[in-house]
Formats: sequence, structure tokens, C-alpha cells
Amino acid sequence: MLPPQPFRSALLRRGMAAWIGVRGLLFLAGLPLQLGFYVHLVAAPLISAVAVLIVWLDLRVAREDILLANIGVAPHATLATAAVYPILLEFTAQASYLLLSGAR
Amino acid sequence: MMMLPENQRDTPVLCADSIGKRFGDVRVLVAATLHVPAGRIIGLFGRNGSGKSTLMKIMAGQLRADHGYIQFNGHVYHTRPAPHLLGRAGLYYAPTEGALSRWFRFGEQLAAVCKHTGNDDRLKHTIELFRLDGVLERTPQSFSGGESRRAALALACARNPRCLLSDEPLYGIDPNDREILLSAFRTLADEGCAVLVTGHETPELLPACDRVAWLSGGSISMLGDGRTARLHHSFRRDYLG
Repeated sequence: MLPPQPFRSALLRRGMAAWIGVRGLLFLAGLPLQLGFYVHLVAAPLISAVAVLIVWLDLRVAREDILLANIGVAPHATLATAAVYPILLEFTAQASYLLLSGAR
Repeated sequence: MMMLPENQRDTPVLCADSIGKRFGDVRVLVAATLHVPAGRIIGLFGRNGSGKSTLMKIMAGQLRADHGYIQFNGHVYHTRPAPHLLGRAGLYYAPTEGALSRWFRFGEQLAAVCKHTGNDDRLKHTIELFRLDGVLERTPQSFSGGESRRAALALACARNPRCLLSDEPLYGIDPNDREILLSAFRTLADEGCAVLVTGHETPELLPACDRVAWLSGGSISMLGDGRTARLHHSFRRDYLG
């Protein structure tokens, strides 16, 4: 059972924002030499997981987890919704990097 | 709204049996046993720190008990029940703070709860019952204490729960809002909901409760209705003052 609207859209947006934040920080921290370090198969799920964790903590702080539980939305459905954009964007970033580095 | 027939009241909906909970060296609950029946309002009273909110959190699956079990809707949970499973089965937990999302307009949240739980027909009724026409377009960040409480319980009412756990619903709100909330509890109970409330607002809460539960020394004593509870010597001496 997925979270209802408008919670679903907000979770998707927050997931995207968290991924951009995590990636942005890593980019700034590693710029420019170590960019490649953060783009490999081990880092990818980790970065997605960190982004989802940020969304989950934000949800806990805002106490929305209680509201969602009250209407029967499971935490794993909430986490899955929050994970859509981080996984998608991470996959795209990985693929782009591999394609570009392969082209070089 | 369907009224619950008198002969169907008193069927236990939510039971906590022999619940124990310790925080470090502090033993808050020893063997607390509480039954919340359908169609009744149960008032859970006790001094500050006696474990009312802890027991309520355990019953709502928000906290793990050290021992004892929870029974809801015929299911027995020996370990901490998942809150969303209780939510699906019709339990609604309204904590003192944070029963609303602060980011969305209240009208959106109310509509989402009604739609998601298949209770679209309750939307209008809920807005009227809690007199919330003026706050639908606002986010809960801008709510006063009374508006927050009314809005939080409006969400519960919109869910049409089988059991409502409301932690200190009357705390810090004006007499008019208290009256609205107490009449909403009665409406829910008349529809068959099992209602458990805590609080220290005894002049209003005691008469509104069908039964009074007194939490003292980590266990619960049932004291009958509000009038009988007032006559209970230890309750008067140790709690009412």
C-alpha cells in the first residue's frame, strides 16, 4: 500500500532533493580529482541508501511516520517511494560516467 | 452515522495484558492490564511520570514492552506490533504532539486520509463536527494549540477508527475547544469506537468517561465511572488532591 497523495509526491521530491544534496556534497568534497572514486558499484547503493535515510529521518522528525502508520502505510512502502529517484538518478549518473569514461 | 447497539458495547477491542516497561533503573510499568471496549470512553489517569503515555505508546506499537502482550481486534501480539498493521486494522494513535504533517495544508491531509481509508463520506461531517472550515487552507505550522488538537482528532475521526488512543487531548486548550473534543469522543464512541484518553483535566474528563483507569505504581486499577472514581479514597488522596 503506497502512501496517498500528496505524501507520495512529497516523498518522491524529498528523495530527489536528498540525492542531489548527497551527490553535491561528495562532488564538492572530491572536486575535481576524485570524482571517479564516488562512481563505482559499491558507492552507488550506499549513496542511494544515505539519501533514503535522510528522507526517513526527516519523516521521523516531522512525525509523518505516525500519521502514515495510522492510515496503514507500511514503512517499507514509504522507503520504497523515497528510494525511487535516488536509485534512478544514481543509475543514470553511473551509466553516464561509464559511457563517458569509455568514450575517452 | 451508524450508532452501535447497546448490546454490542463492552466487547473488548484493545487489551494490554501484564505490560512491563523499564527505562534504565526506573521501572515505569510493572504489570499494567487495561481493556478498552467498543463504544466506551476510558479515561487513563495517573500522576506525571506514572507511565500513561508509555502504556499508550506500547498499545499503539510505538514502543516495545519488556513483557506482556497486546491484543487488538482478535490478534494477539507478543512482540511489538507494527504500527501500520494496527493502523490497517483500525487503530488510530493521536500523540500529544505531531499527529499532523506540518508541510501540507490541513485540507489536503484530511482529504488524503478520507480517500485512502475509503471514508470519503466522512469528510464533510468531520469538518462540521470539529468546526474546521477556517483552517483547511492553512498548514499546521500556523495552527494554535487548540486548532492542532482539533485537527489531529479530526483526522482520527475521518479515519473512522475501531479504536482511538488520544494522549492528553485537552492539554492547553480553551473550554470551547474542550467541549468540541469531548463531544467528538462521545460521537465516536456512539459509533462503536473504543476510545482511550489520558489527561489531567479532571473536571471535564472525569464526567465524560464511561470508565476510569488509574495508573499508579506501575499497575492499573479500574475505578468505575467518573462519579464513582471521585469517591475512591486513594484516587482522591493520591491524585485528585
